[in-house]
Amino acid sequence: MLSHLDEHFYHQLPETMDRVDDADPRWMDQHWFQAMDTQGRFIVGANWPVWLTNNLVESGQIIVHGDTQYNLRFQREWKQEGYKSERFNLKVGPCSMEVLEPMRRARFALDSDNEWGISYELEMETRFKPVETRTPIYSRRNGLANILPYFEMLGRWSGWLHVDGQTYDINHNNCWGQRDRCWATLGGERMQGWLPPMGTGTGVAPVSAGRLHWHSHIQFEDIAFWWWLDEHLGHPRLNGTLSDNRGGHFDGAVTWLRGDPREQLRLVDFKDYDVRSQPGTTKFQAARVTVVDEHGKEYPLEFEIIAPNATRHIRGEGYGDPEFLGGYNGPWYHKFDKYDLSDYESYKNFAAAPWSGEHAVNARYRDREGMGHMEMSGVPPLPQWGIS
Amino acid sequence: MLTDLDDLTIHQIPQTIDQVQGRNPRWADKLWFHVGTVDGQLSVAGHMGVYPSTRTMDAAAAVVTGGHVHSARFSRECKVDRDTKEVGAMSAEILEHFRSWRFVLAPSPESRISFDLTFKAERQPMEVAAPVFHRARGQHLTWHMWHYAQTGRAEGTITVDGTAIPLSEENTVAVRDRSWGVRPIFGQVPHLAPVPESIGRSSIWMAADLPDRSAWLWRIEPTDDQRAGLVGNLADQTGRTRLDGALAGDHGGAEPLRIIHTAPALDLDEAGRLSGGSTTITDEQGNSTKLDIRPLTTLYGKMLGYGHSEFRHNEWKGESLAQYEDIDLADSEAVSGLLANESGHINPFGLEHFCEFTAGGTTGHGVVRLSI
Repeated sequence: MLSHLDEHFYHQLPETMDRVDDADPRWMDQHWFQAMDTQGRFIVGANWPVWLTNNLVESGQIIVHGDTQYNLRFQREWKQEGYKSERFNLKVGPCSMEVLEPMRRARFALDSDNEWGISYELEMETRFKPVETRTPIYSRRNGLANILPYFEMLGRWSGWLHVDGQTYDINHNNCWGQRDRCWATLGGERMQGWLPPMGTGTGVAPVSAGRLHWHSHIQFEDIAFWWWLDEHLGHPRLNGTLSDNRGGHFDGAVTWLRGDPREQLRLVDFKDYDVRSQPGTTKFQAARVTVVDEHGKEYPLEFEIIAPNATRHIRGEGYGDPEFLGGYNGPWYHKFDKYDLSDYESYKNFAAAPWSGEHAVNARYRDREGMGHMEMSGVPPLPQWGIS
Repeated sequence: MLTDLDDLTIHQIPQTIDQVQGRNPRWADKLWFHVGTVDGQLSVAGHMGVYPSTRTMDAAAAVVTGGHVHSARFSRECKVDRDTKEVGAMSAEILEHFRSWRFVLAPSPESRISFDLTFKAERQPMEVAAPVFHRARGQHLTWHMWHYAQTGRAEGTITVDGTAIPLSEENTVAVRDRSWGVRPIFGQVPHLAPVPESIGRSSIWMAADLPDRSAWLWRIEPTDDQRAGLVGNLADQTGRTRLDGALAGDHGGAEPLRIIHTAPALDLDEAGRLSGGSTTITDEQGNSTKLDIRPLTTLYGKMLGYGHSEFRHNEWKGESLAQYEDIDLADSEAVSGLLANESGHINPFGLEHFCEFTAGGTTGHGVVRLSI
């Protein structure tokens, strides 16, 4: 069906723009973001997938405020009316987003018409050159392949957030973060039980004993880092990129401010890493790693969580939820819940793995102070950290 | 390579927007338009295409008036933004999707023509029901293209040799199309294999702005008559006549009706140009209309690069190229060159005629494109 997008020179297929290259029900085109208060008072984040073959658009929202994580999940069926493509209609219930200036500015909003009465209007300005993964993420699960091109933008936020009766003014000094874009297919929870059990040898990287997953966006005033590593302790490194899911793999980059003439540098290795838990728990507290660029230059980095519960748990936006992320639930679907992040006993319900979550961290690189995001999880046993 | 367009939820394949499905160098995403004055004094046509596989964008315009045809053709490297529709002195801009476009050929000392035109459409676009598809000799895919057409009016100014000619919605009819996917470039490139079998022996493409609706059709005759009288769609591979078409009303109205039968009876001169004739079109509800056709102008597709030996669409033409060509239509040798086609494949857009259409006492205008 023709839509306004067909007027543009966008086509990648000899088909109208409402179609994609196969009928895979996992085909999506997604926005995702995380905005983090530099003082650790709040974290806001959401995903916004458009499902091209399922005719769905979703948004899973997470707002962490103090010790509480508020979750909202919305899904609607889409049907084009007139010429306006639904690919661009990223409004789902009270959530909306739009790219104001590609790669530079994007706006995300939540109206207060939701169970938690939370609202926000946030705009991210990309501060650093966007980082593209060296290869798409590729994996094969029980014969069904997933492929996911992926890129990241690091920047600063402005706007406001209203939560628990408080309103926060947000500006480039007090709110840093990132957004990303990915498209095509991603497996995991989105498979909705269509396939046999995945086992341990599949996925973006095998989820086997002794695994450390660490995905970070770290920014300082004049330099930023992105990486994704899956390490399998006690196993040889295969030195693959994210398109190699046989075992451990690694991709990353050093990026510079927009307008800086320097080329991005690929990160090719990491070493001397360590992770520390909060006392009496496996909640993330601190970490260090030295990443190595393509010229052999080493960047020793240290991190510490900004506040004990400055963590966003993405189960709240639908990851791992068999009803969400591409599963059809009728013309309209909505769920909400919340997590008490101060109740460690409850973590088994939404974040059972050690260090699990999307942490807001203070960062140090030599004499530079910065902050960033650390998506981390471990698979026991991890004996060097006393986790059995 | 990542570009700004990748920030938009517009992907169709698991690759960045600068890439397309497959690696066929014939991949094109392009537009074409033709504006004629209803008095038959002038026609202007334009083309613009982006070819992601060859990192090339090109554009061309031609004006026929006063016994001459003038053209300007441009090409540039396209590394970053495939949707920035600017090539040399030519630009195209969407003012309102499916309702209004602006086409500009900026003046330059080398060019005898320039224009600034706004295309306006009250009627719906008419898209193919199936892609134009042709796979010859095993894997030799030469056509796999989606396509739509739309009729409307135009306003603005065309300047020829310093004389400005105003155009208005009252004295013009305009037609445009959009195509994307693989197409043969009429046998010109790449010469990596034997020339592929042609999609057919002749082609008629027609878009007419009639008083009560728009009509569009594309009919391609098979290379032989083994299945004469049988009709398939534009993807048909069985040797039948290929036909698609639609009748469309205003924006927001009923879905366009499909054209399921045509009976063209065109009069052609010795060079294959249209001199008159008619066609009957029958829609999916069984309603038939006979359109009498009277050509008012003739414009040669080569002037826009369709089949031009020195300006091949799709092909890398260097970082930047500008060509200007002026032909006196009384020069029979030059005109013969415009009509030549040694490619081994029909050039379905070799001739463009701005025409008057009459049916049941009403009159409309539009464009007939004939193959060479």
